[in-house]
This record gives sequence, structure tokens and C-alpha cells, in this order.
Amino acid sequence: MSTYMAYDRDALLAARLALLRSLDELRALAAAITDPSTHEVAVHVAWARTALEQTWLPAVTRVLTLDVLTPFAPRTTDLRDLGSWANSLPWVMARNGWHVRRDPTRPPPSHRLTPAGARALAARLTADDPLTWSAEEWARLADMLDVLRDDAELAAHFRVNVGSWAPLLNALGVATFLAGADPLVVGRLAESLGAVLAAATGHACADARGVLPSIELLLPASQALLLPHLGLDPPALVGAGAVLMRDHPSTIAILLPALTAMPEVVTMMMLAMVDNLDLLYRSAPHEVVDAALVAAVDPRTASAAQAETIITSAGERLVAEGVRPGVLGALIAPWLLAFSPLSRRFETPPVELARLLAAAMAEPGSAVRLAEVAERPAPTLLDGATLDEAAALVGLVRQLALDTEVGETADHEAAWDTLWAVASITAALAGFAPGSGVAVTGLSLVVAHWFAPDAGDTERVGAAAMDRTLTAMAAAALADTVDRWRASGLTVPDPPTVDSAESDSDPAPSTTFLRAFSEWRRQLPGGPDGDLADRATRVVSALVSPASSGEHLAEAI
Amino acid sequence: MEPEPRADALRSLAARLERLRVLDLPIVLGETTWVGPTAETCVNDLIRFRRLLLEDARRLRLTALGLESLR
Repeated sequence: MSTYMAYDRDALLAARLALLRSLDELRALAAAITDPSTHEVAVHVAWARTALEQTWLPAVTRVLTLDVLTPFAPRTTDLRDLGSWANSLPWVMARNGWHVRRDPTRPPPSHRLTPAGARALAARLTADDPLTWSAEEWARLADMLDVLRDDAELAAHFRVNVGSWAPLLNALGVATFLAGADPLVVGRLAESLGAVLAAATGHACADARGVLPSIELLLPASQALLLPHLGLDPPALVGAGAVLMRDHPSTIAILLPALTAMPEVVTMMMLAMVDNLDLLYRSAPHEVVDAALVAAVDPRTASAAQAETIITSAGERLVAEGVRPGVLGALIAPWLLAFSPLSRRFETPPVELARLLAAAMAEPGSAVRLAEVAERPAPTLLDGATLDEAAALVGLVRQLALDTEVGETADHEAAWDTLWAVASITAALAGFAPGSGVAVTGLSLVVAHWFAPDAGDTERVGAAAMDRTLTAMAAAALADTVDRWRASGLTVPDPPTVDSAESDSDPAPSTTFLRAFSEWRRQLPGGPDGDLADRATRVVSALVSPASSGEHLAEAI
Repeated sequence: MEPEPRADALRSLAARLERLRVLDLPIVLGETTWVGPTAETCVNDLIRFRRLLLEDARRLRLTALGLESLR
């Protein structure tokens, strides 16, 4: 439908003022009419007042505030000046071969709903058979619901023409079947619906239950649309949602994104559905299920036991069916330290956890997510973690990175970046007090060199590169520890360091470093068996152990 | 003859109705101000209210006259 409008801005401004004064007059008159025989007059005055107040004053105001209709201010008003012609739209368009197109950043004109339009939309939704609507009409409906959501006045007009909610809600439910291929449209419809309900009824979403028809009367898709907006407590919502999704898999694409956005619910929901992952992946876009899984193991809302159940169950399925890019890594990353052989956070046997970790490191997308831990650690990653746990994890990841199978199948650099991340965490734990809020990334400033071997290098070259990196990290963590001792008033000799230029030519820098460390330890207050020496040894041995340094030396020969 | 207070009130209300600014709005919001389908609907709406309110005023005066003639 096309439409047009032209107006005199000054005259319309004067008309708006006249409208406002007329409204004042009508209000005063309505209050003065008391005689029962003048009831009909009172009704007519009220009609006029309502039309002015709710339709024509907003319409005039909207026209006056539309940017697109703001008068063009010419650079010059002198018609003899060719510049004014050169500035004119037809001339500029002709010269540049321009065409007129709708501004994509603004909603199309048809979405500028008027009160009458909102009432008509409600009437059409109630009366029409939605199955006859085209995909474009559904997309436009989503746009209109967006407009209604943001405008309580329009939403009130919309509500006027909705006799019963049930046909409308069923129509929207059917819409989601038709729009099911596009999760974005489904999500927008569901989100807008709740907001429109809230705006139209003047209640918060939590109170919408009171104005809705019995939910059992609705189609499954309509139930799925409504369920998140009923203000149910999390267990009730999870119970109803799980039953609905199992009985009617077509509702998964609607319900799952809505529940993923509810942190207090998503963990419980995925615990309830983790045995039905095949069903979820079959019925909804894979990205939707991936996002729900990742949100469900968020350490801010999920306990270790809950996360463990989801990670191990989903992990087994992901490994068996072919790992989806990045998902396994995203699940493991916030709980990385629980995969240490010495960790007691998860009860799953360490061998099975190591298998999952190896699968994640072997998949480039997941390995990248694991490596990101060093840059953006989960807020609770280091809570309660011990240096021994982290050191054991370094050993495990080091072996996995060197593992021939991993080496053959993995994106080489990504697997090695995982080791860098784990070593960074360990060094951070060793150097900084756990939970002190110091970013793990601080260490990367100290250890600027990452000695990852090239993809074609042998295992021996890889081991040597790893030795150099871990030694540099141990030296950095030790230096940081010594700084803190000095800050607390202790007098401590300078700790041994790793010279990156020398370590490049040194076949086994860890051996050189440990020898210097052993010498330095003797000079500490309390001697080689004192408390400080013990603490320094724990920091260094978390990353470099005498046993592995011997191995590297042997390999270097 | 004594004045009829109710008739006076009705006549006063009729006079107020006839003086309402809303009766001038079809002109204020007429073709010299804006044109287009929305403007047309608006003017038609305003003309309808003008007609209703003037008709109400006319009936109020008739009722007042009737009340006075009963005395």
C-alpha cells in the first residue's frame, strides 16, 4: 500500500496548539455536565476528546517530529545563484546516476503504526487464518510487534480489538511453525509477544498469567511461546518446558533460545534434557543447542556437579558424533582446572576427563576456546585452585600436545596454544595469590617469547621448545614471588632469570635454570631447607621439574 | 413569569457547545494545513464531531424551550 502526505509546518504547529486548547476545553466541559438529561452530550464530548487525545494529537505530533519530513534548508535562497540548482536533489541525482532507496536503518513506512493500525492489526490477527499468510507477512508482523512493544499507547489500542487471547496466541504459535526455519524471527516473535502482553495489560510479564486463557487450550507452539512469560518459578518452568519439548519436538526451536536467555533456568533445563541431546540437535538449529549447552555450564550459575554432568554427557555425545567446532572447548574452558588429574572438583575418573580434553585439543575451534582462557579466564576459574592441581594439568596437557595422534590430527598451533594457556594459569597461581583478581594475562607481558615449534618439526624439537617456554614462565613466576617478598620487607637475593637470546641456543635451558635456582635457594634467609626455599621450590617445580629437565637434556644429546 | 433555572442551565450548556474551539478544527486542520489520506480522515472525523455537538446544542435549546412552555 502506498500513501502520501504534504503539510505546511507552521500551520501544523498552530493546529497542534489548537488541538491542545480544544482538549483542555473539552475536559473542562465534561466536568461541568451534570444534568442526567444531557447524558448524550456527555458521550459525544467524550468521543471527541478520545479521538483528539489518542488519535489526532499523536498523529500531528508524529508528523512534526519525523526527521524524514524535516524541511530542507537550502544553502542559498537566491534562485539566480547556480549553486542552489547544483545543490538540488534532481540535479545531484542526475549527475551521479543515483537512485532512491528506502533507508535501511529506519523501519519501512508501513511499520509506523497508528492507533487505528494497531486496532486493525489485532482484528486481522483474530479473524484471519494465519496459514494463508506469506513469509513476508510474518516478517512484517514481527516488525509490528516490535513497534507495539515499545509503545504502550499503541499496545493499548491493539488490546482493544483482541476479544480473546486464545485465537491470537494460537495464530502466533502457528506463525512460529511457518517461520521455524528462521530462529531469529521466532525469537523476535516470542520476545515481542511477552512485551506486548505486558504493555497491553499494564502488568509486568510475571503477572500476564492472570489475563491468559488456560494454557492447555493452546497449540504446543503457542504454549512454548508463552511459557517463559508466565512468571513460573524455575523448577515449574523447567518441568513444563521439558515435557513440552519431549512431547512436541517442534517447540524446541522456540523454547530453547528463550530459556537460554534465563540464567536461573538454563542449567536446570539442560540437566533435564542432556539425555535427549540427539532430539535437541535434530529439532533445533545447532547453534541454538550449542549456545544453550555453553550457557548451562556457566560457573556463575552452575555448580561443579551440574557442570560435570552436562560436560561429560554432552562431551561423550559430541566426541561420538563428531565434535561441533568450538563447542567442547567452550564447555571445558570455564572448568579447565577440574580436568587436572589431582583435582577433586569432578567425580568422573581422570582418564575419561583426559579423553575429553584430548578431543577438545584435537579440534582447532575448541583448542582456540581453551587457549582463550589465558586472555579471558572465567571469573571463578582460580577459586580454590591449588598449585599442585595446576602443575598436574600442565603435565597432562604437555603430554597431550606432544602426543603423536594429537600432533597428526590437530591444528598444530592451537593445541600448543592450549598448553600456553594452562601454563599461564599455573604461573599465575604460582606467582600471584589465587583469587586476588590479578589477570592471568599479566604474565604474557613478562614472557614475551612463545617458542611454539613449526608444524613440520619433530617431537624432539617440540619438547625442547616446550622446555624453553615453561622455563621462561617459571622464571617469571619466581621473579614475581620475590618481588612480593621484598615488598613485605624481606631481603632476598636476585632470583635466576632466563635470557631469551641465550636460551635459544641452549639445548636444555631448564637444566641451566634449575642449576642456578639450586644455587640461589641456598642464599635465601633460612637456607635451602627453610620456609622461603620451600615456597620458591613449589613455584618453580609447578612448571619445571628436575625429572623433566633431565629428559630434555637427554633428548638434546 | 419566573425564570426556569434548569432551562437556563441547558441554554448555557448549548452556548458553551456552540463556542467550542473543536468546532473550528476542521478548518484549522484543513487542506491549507496538510493533505493526504490521513489528513482527509482527520478532517472527516472532526466534521462528524462538529455536526454531533451542534446538533446537541440545538436539542438542548429545544428542551429548554419545552421546559419553559410547560410552566
